[in-house]
Amino acid sequence: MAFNPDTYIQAGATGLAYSGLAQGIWLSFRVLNLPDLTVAGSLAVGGAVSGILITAAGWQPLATLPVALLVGMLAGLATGLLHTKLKINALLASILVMTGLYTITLRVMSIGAAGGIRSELSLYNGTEAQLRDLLAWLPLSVQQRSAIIMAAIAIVLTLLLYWLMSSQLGLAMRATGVNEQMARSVGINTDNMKMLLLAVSNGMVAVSGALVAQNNSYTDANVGNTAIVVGLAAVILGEVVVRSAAVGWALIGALLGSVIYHIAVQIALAQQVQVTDTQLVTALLVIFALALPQIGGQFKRLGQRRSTANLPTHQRGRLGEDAD
Amino acid sequence: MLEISNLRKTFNAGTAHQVKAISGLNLSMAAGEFATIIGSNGAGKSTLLNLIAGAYQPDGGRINIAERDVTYTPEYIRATQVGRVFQDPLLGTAGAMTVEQNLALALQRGKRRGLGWGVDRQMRSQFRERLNSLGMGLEQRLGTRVNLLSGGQRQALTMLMATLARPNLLLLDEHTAALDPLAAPRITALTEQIVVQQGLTTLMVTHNMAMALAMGNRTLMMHQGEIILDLSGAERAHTSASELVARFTSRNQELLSDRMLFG
Repeated sequence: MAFNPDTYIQAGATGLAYSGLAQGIWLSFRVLNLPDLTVAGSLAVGGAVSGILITAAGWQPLATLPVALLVGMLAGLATGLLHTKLKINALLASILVMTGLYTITLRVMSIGAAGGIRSELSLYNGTEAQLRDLLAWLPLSVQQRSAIIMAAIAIVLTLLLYWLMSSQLGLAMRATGVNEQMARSVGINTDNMKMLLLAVSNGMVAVSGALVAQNNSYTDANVGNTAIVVGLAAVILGEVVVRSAAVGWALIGALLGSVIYHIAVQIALAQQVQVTDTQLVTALLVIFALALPQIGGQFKRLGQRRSTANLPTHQRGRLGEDAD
Repeated sequence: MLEISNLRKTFNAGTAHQVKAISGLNLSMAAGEFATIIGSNGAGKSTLLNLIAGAYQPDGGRINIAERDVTYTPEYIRATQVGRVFQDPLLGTAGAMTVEQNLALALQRGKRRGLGWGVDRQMRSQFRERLNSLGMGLEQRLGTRVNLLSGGQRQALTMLMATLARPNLLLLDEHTAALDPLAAPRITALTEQIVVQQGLTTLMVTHNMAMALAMGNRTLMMHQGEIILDLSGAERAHTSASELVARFTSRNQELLSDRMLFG
């Protein structure tokens, strides 16, 4: 097969469209320290809302993004309310909302459907507006125009998130995730901060879902199935690339991680890897990355045990312990 | 400044593990008073501070801070009036955040948190000045993550954070107990400096009898959820640490035997 750069540019555009998912997962998983499965539902519902507004109501693609944002934020808020006010375990609360969202996604997708319920939606029959049409005046390929548009939107979203997370509110949300006791003792309403963070996180993911649907000219109700693992893979790849926990760098890392992941998948597919195999490979990659600190620690301890073998017994244990 | 009347708190009420932590406690503190609290383990010292801070809800009684009834006010709202330093240096700061971010969080105590920058230039110069007064070189490390600091530095930072936005009440829960022998006296000196400078109404729990008498202007002894000794003025000045220890043990035994006889 001949090398076609546009294939990889298209993969890059997909990665950029998915960057909001990675950043949303970074917010819940790394900032709030809470595995939030709502994002799977938010991604799908974001795509469905945007798709139906474009196809059934003739909206401009860009104009559907704030609606997707709002719907995603409501989903995150629902999980937050279940968790903080009704004291339901966070993971379970997110599963409940995710499950409920599946029905909502199907209902939204089926608006105006001739044959009742449908679980997939084509965003393209030749007449609908496309995001990349905004750049129709540029002498570029379709893939290149998509990539530029997706990059522009991803950068704007990243800057907005950076602003939010660096603000007084952002600091309060981060403190809630790091040390809830301390957060309350400096007067932070930690319940509200959790709800706000989950809302922002899922809002980002729903916008990402809308962008993915527009980028593919297609969406279906099950796009969220692999969302968490793919998003986590992007977050972890990003952490390897930027190696900084500072908010700005972490957000850029998640964005880059998403692009790298999707280009890597494209490369794998070009090497005759089956599409159906990518999920297992991704899952193994994430397991490996999450386990790395543990595995590394074991090796370190092993090495230290050896190097302290000649010390008096009472000193051996202490050298192996971390300072913090 | 602080008025507590008939405060009660029982843990695991109605079960076999029922513990009466605070039983009908009364305490009144004037503005600017600095009281130390001593008592054996399980006397209810930490529970009392947690009730005042709002981390626990009482079963009954009343807590007023600065003439306001805060008995059932949520902890995060009460935090606008109460500064706290915990025994564990890790508890009072957000380890994954930088020194200046932690201070900014404390500076915003009691204010609305909005979309303005969390840390700005004006705050930074203020923080640098305040950190400089600690004499620990922290003014050079505004951008350092707090979990890279030593326990003593973290506790000094927590002291500063608890008092940055002047609280009506400062609660110190054995805040030097987990520090090494070099850091503990520095935090003690810093405590006196800050409390005296700002004239803060302060409650300090300690296990060190000498410190309980040397610091502040009032000493309270707690036993089984009640204040059984309240020393101040000349009486306190003429009490030595060994006398206090003697009263501590005799009082404990006396109460113990009373309970055995009549309880």
